[in-house]
Amino acid sequence: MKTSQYRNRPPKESRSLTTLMLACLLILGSACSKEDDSGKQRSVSQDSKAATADESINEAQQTESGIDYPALYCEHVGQLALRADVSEELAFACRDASPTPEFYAFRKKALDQAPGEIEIVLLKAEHANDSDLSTFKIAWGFHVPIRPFEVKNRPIYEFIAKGFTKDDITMAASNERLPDDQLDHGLHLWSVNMHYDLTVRGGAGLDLTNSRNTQYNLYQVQSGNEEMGFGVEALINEDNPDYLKSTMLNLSFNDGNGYNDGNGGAVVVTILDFAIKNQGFPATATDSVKKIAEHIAQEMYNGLKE
Amino acid sequence: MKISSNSFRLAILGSMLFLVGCTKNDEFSSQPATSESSKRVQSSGSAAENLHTQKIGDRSVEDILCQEGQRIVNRYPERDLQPSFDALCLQGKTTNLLEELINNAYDGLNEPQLKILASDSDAKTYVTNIRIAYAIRTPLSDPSLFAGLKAHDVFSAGIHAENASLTIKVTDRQAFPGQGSVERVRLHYNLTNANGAGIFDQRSTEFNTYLLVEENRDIVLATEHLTDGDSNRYYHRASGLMVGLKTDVAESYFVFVSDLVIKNRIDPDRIAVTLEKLNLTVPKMLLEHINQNL
Repeated sequence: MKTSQYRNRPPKESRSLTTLMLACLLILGSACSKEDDSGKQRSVSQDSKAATADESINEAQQTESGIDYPALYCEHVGQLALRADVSEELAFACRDASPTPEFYAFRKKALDQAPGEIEIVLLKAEHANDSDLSTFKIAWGFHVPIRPFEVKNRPIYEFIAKGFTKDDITMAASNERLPDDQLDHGLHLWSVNMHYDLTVRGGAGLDLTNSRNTQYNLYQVQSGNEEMGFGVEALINEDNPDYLKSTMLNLSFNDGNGYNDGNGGAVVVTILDFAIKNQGFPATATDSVKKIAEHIAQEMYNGLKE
Repeated sequence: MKISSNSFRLAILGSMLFLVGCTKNDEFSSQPATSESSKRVQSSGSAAENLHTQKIGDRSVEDILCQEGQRIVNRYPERDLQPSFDALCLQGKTTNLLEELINNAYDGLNEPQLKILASDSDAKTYVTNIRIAYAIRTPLSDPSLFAGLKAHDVFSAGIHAENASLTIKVTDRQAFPGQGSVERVRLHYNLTNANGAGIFDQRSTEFNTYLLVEENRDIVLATEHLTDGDSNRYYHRASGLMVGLKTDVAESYFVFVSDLVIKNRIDPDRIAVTLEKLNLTVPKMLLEHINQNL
């Protein structure tokens, strides 16, 4: 859906800086989770319906600025020239250039949640026994009080790549920002190569390890519009024997309280899509993916919450 | 995911154990197992009773072993594991033999006891069938703790019994190779001295260890099978199973079944005696190694 208000209000020029921030936001948007100051438990829901409150869609569309950001987002995001084909993942939020009910629902949930409270939703966890392949789709959303442009100079990729140890899982990560002269076009804001090493300790000296290389690219969704950004992380070594897919989308946009005017916070909706070899240990793979999602969400939120 | 690890050497160990061979022992009958021994009876000892009373989730250890174990056996028909599995689980129930093995497991105080399940030879074809079973009782609080002990390395220097020598070398090891195997170990056996006679007797096998319940380490099943069966001059089959069970007193029992079909042995008694000697030595080496490395 597109908003007439927006069309009556042409984008201002020279807002690329703000846009950049937005983009950044998207990126970080990858995660969220409950925050310490809230004291609430982070939860991983396995019921996708938990995030699809259809009845709230109309309410969610109403913003103070009068702009339906999900609609505006979906109208433009499909026009971006990306380095990775993420059409399948993006379809969770946008179909035929229009927002899905799920997109609205995650936006509403992000706005309704207490600060730092984040519900991570396991939308899909499927396991093929014959091929040892597990596929996961996870999504969450959160709201931060800062506007997208404020995160411009924050090391978003370092938030994402921050290593962690939780229970039997250890993830080490590194990143390398690529020169800006390698960017593809004016809406392509930055590009970072990421490397992850994951170790799952199974007890008694048993370690399950894997590695993956990804590239994270940040885009401004619409020329002249500072309020929407799109982060895309995807595998860059396609012959990875352990990961058939490792994609993260961060959709960030103004929370509805402003438009290129310095007002409002940001909503970040993240979609994770993994297809991994579980080596015949689907429960372990599921547990690991959940914990990784929780970690990413928490670190992203921590980096953007103020 | 790749998994590197150093775990479940136990399995490996086990493999060596069964592989080693066969043969009868004193207290146990040297006769092939009868149908009677395959029937389930009331457990006669606390360790064996755990099969029926101990639960993992909503299933008894017996149910898990016989259901999930059968699932693994069925998944790999080429490994010829059913005869060995039938000795432990029959028609979904643990056998009398399994309980006997557990209740008489070698604990270092007495001599290991071997149960001869099959021992026969065809004078026309020179094919010898040998199937044996035995168990050890260890102070490991759960079977997976054996993992870090690298038990297979114990045998690389050779198993030397009276007039019998066997070396077992690890030729490859991969943790989490797929299909639920915790570790895959490739082994090469070289039996050089059979009851005083120098012989050629070699085979290559693969040993895989499985958790029967993915997130539980209290019950494991390991399988071993011949990998050079098409070209091996000495064996039609060299399969085996190892079951690792935790008890409620923080001990672990390991039950081994070795199933060998040997080619071209014109003196089956010699090979049987050799395997008996070696198999009596292996449990001692294993338990000693465990005790020294705890």
